Amino acid sequence: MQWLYLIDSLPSVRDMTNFSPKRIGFVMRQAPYGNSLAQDALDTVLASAAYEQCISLIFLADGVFQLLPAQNSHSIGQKNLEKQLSALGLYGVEQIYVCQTSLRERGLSVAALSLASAKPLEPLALAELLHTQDCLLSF
Amino acid sequence: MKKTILHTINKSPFDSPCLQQCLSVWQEGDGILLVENGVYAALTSQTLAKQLNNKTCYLLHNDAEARGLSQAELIPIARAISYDQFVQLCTEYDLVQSWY
Repeated sequence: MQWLYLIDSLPSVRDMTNFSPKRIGFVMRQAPYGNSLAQDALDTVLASAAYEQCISLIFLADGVFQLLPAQNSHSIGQKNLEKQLSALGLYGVEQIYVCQTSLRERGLSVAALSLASAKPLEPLALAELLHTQDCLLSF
Repeated sequence: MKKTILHTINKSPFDSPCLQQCLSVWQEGDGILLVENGVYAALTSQTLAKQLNNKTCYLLHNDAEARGLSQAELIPIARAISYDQFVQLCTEYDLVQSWY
C-alpha cells in the first residue's frame, strides 16, 4: 500500500479529492490524427472525470473535425478517437459544445456529428461559456 | 460568475488563424498577450491590428526585440512587457487561454 502514501503526498491530487469540483473547460481546436493533441485531450478529460470534476468539452475551429462520424483510423495505426469520444457519457462527461460558426465554415451540420449530445453554440454563447470556467485547458 | 481571460497568442497572424479565433471569443475585461511569433500581430500593417486597438493588448518585449521589430512599426496600444510582468499578468487575470 506504499503507493497510497505517495498519492497522499501529492498536494494536487489531495486538493482535487478534498475540495469542491472545479469547472474545467477543455478547448479542442485541432483536427484529429495529424498530431497527438486530440488524444492527449481525451486522456486528460478521462483523468479529470475520474476526479469528478465538472467538465465541459468545447470543440472549436478544426477541432470540430474530431466529431465526424465513420472514422476508421486502423489503417494509419492510431486509436479510433470517435469510439473513445462515444464513451464519454459513461464517465459522466455530458457537457459537450460545438462552435456553430466553425461547423458552418466547414460545411458541416450538428445533425451529422458522431455525438448526438453535442450542443451547437454561436460565438457569443461560446465566449460566455469560456468566461464562466474555473480553468481552461487548450488542446 | 463572469471571469476575465488573458489570451496568449504565439503564432503569426499571417500564418495561423489563432488571432482570429481569439478575437471571436474575446470579451470586455480580457487581455491579449502576444508572444513568440505572435508579436507580428502588432505590426501596424497587419489586417487584424485595427481590431486590437480598442482592447487591452501586451507584447513580450524580448520577442519583439529578438525579431527586430521596433516600437515605430508596432501599434501603440500594444504595451511591451518583460518576462516578470508576463508572470504578473497571469496572476491578475482569472483564466489564461493559450492560442497556439
